Amino acid sequence: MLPLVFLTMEPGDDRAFLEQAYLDYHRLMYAQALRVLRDDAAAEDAVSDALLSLMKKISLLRTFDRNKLRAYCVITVKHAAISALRRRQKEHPAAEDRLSDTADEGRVEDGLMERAGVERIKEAIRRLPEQEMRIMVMRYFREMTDGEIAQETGLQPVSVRVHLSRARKRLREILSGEEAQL
Amino acid sequence: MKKENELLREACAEIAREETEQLDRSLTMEEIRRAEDMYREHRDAALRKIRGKRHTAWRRYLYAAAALLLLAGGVYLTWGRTMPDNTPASKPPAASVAPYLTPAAASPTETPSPTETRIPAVTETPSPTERPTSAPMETITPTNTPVPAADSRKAEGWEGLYFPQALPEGYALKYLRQEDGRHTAAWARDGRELLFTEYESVQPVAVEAGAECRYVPLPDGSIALRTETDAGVMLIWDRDGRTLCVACEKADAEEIAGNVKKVSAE
Repeated sequence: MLPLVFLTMEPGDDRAFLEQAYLDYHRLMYAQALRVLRDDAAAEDAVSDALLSLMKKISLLRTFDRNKLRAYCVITVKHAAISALRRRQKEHPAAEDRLSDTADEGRVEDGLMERAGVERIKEAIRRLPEQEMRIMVMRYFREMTDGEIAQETGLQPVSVRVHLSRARKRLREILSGEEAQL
Repeated sequence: MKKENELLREACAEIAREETEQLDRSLTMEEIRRAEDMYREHRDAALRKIRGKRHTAWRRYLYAAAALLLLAGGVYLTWGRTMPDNTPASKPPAASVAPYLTPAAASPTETPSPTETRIPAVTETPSPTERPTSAPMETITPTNTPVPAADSRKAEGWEGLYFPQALPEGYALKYLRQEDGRHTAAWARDGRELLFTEYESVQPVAVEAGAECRYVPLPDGSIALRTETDAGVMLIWDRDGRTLCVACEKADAEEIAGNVKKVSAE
């Protein structure tokens, strides 16, 4: 019966949640968009696109504390702005990666990442190429699917998987290199 | 694999948080002003987009009726009594209440005078794990008259420890904002804005490129960094572990900074 009760609720509760987030963090959102795009109209579009993306993730956003919610809103705007910049500059999407390069996504259960810890993993992610780092954040922080990432980056879904696979491989290389030095 | 994914999530969340913190710390007055202008210009359209279309009424009534019938049946079978008129199913359960206080679009408790232009205050919002309160939204007390210097005074709803005690004539309070360790009050006069900001901890200072900088003494003995650009003057100083900032026209800055006083106990 409970799900039926929830269905009687106005989805306005979710809308009120997003409205409040927009009111709270609008300054950072617009400022972030302007920093990337340097153009008011394009920045406004990016914030609008970001709000639509946020609407799809309300159930996830509700589990966040304030700092994490704020970061999610700002990073979503940043990614939307970068996508808009990419479209504006008419960049060609990355060439289709060889499908045979999908390989493993670091499925080796050697505990390397557990030994490294969050701080070192964070620093290693920062050392990845810009696009790979962005895709990692989209997957693991914004919890986007391959299709969603593909839509936002202009890549094919299979290319997204390849980028993620490469990113994890590079991460492991960085971390095991550091471990060997210790 | 699950543990690895968890670690990657935490690491990416940290990256996102740090980037956001850095953006917040590095914003210049010009960027803040431009962002606020964009917000004022596009706020209504953005809120309309968020609100979107409402569900068709008949669907909601159908779900409500089905829920009522099931509840009635359950109560009858369990207790053998008739259902009361006012059933819980007709009201949303408490857990579904949005975690935030009343949205800023709700009407404030005070009615503004017809000659004033008001922007609803943005209230401090609790984290989703906090229990929502039924307290009314904090209200603005707009004024066209200078705040009297005698006795420590502050605008209603101000949560910071410090507040300017006197402003030049003609400034009207526009909004108060309390968020993430920062309290901001904004006044306006003839299209120019005056901002007073209190940070709950000592903050690094972001100075606009090309700004003229020098140190000036304040009446209470503090030394403020004074930065001046074509857009105006900003005075920044620390007091008791907090950073205070006044941003406004050149002529008014020192006077306003000089009468900032402590208005609340810690």
